[in-house]
Amino acid sequence: MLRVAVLRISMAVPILFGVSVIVFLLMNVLPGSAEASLVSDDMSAAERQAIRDELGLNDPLPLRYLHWLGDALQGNLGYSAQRRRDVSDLLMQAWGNTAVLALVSAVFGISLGLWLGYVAGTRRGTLIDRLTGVLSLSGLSIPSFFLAIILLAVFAGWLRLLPSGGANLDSGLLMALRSLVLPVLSGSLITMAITARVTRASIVDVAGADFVETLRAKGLSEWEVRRHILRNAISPVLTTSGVQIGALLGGSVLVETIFRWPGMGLLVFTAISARDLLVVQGATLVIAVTFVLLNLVVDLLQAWIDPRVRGAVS
Amino acid sequence: MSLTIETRAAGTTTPAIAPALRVRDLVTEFRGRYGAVRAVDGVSFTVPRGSVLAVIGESGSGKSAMLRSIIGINPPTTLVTGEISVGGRDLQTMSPRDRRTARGSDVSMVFQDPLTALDPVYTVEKQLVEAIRKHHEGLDKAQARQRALELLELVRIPSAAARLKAYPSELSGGMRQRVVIAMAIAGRPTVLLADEPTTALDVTVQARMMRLFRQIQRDIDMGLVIVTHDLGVAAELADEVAVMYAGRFVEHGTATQVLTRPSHPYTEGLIEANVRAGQDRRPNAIPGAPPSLDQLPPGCAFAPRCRYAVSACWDVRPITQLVGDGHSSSCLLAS
Repeated sequence: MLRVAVLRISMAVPILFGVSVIVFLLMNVLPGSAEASLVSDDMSAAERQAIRDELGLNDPLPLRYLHWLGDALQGNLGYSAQRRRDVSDLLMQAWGNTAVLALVSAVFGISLGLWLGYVAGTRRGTLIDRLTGVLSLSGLSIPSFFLAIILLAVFAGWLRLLPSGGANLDSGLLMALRSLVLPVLSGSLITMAITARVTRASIVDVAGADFVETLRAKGLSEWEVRRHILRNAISPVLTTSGVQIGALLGGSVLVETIFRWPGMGLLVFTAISARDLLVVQGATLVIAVTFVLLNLVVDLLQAWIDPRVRGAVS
Repeated sequence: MSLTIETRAAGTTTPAIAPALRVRDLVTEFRGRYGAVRAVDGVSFTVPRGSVLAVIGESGSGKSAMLRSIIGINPPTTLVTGEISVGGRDLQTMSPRDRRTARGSDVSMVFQDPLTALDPVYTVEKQLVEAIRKHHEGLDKAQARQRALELLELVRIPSAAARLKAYPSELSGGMRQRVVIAMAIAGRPTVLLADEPTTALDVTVQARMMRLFRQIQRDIDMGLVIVTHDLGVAAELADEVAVMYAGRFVEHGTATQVLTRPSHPYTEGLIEANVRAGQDRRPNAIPGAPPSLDQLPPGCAFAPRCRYAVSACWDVRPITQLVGDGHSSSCLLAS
């Protein structure tokens, strides 16, 4: 297991390197220049050149990449002239807000989905199974923004039970929870639906395996048999959960915009509209790194649970 | 209609008051949306302790369904009637809970494909310990581990201590089948059912596996019912042989009687279809295929494929009759 961990972690390093190169290059091929926000129309060409020199924009590309990477590794992703703050500050704050929303959504969506999928998979063909199927299909089909608007209209507008937006994470647990309810419900529906479907399919698949007969022949109770089934069925669920959490951590632009949740989605959305390139670049990097690390964690968890995965890696 | 022949303990078996397994009028029906299919149709037999019954027949003759009915792991839509007693205890009248704990201790089963019979995500030790503790409640974990080691040694797995920590995927097919057997005998069953335990293995491994079955069966003095396609296996291992066709025993007797003096044309066909090393003649396959169980003819189920069939065979369902001492056959023409 240790060998697998070391191997898998060392594989993540080149991936992260590749991510940084791509993010850097993308920003350089985009139209528009980095100094655009610092120069004014009445500056001379020489003055512009001076600013470009000062910023290091006239250096060759590889050198600029190394500068940028060195700065990024020290947590310096540049300064947002529009927002008048360090990009890393902006990102940290936004990422924190998104992380709270994402983790609560993930825990809620995945555990509910897991439970629904388990119930449906172990009672295949029953009414409960069919109801769960309808529920998860609706979850996949209803767009999150649509659900968000409906929830807003009912719970914030009509019943006035919950706040319509904003993240009040610092003003007490109750306020924080109240402000989380609607964004979590609208953001986790898809996670719940996907998890439920994958869990059900995986459980149905494993329950038909030959070894389940051996377990029954051993005299195990139905509960003990189900524990074996679940442990065998969990692998695909882990994979999709990793992707789901990654997507949630990237911040949902729609949900965060609708609920004015100051997270990554909202930050990227406003940065793109304002052509705040350094923020977009930094956010892309953070989201990509989050994905890579999350996949690493999922892979390690899988290797820990399933010996066959361990054998395939080492 | 059932066979009423009591089988005798063959060879040097210890006389026991109750036989390892006694089955009377076993009927297994799979009920589906479009009606019921009778996979086992009134089978009766007895297996004394220390004795081996081999059940032979083509695929689809109900052999596996019969074993699954005896151990009680058919899907819930299955209807099983008749008497199934193991060591004198009637499994059919037990509470579901007792019926479950009887699995592994009264009656155990070894499945056909060792490659898929073990849970891939648990070590051999965990799976063995689970079975051991299920049937020996007083044992703590350390004792159960010790017992697991002894079981692996009993099934002659080399360097057993190291194999305990292995996952099934790290073992060869033959090794896995030994683990499956070790697990099946963990609860010291009165009767062991084996569903084509060597079909998925190499020929060289098959012979060793057969010797192992023989040894273990003597070691713990249990009854063994082995389903097989392989007449060689039946000849080598079995005290008695039963031939199954369309859910019934069409011939039943000692291994010598059935395999050297077959009375039923189906048995004869099976023997002629069998390939032996060094034989000159080509094997003769039985023409046709086993009948669909939901469309059995009114007469003898084998009549459409039988070279001796006369017109009566198509109309009259043959009764089981004695053709020798403890040798029975259900063929109209047998005598």
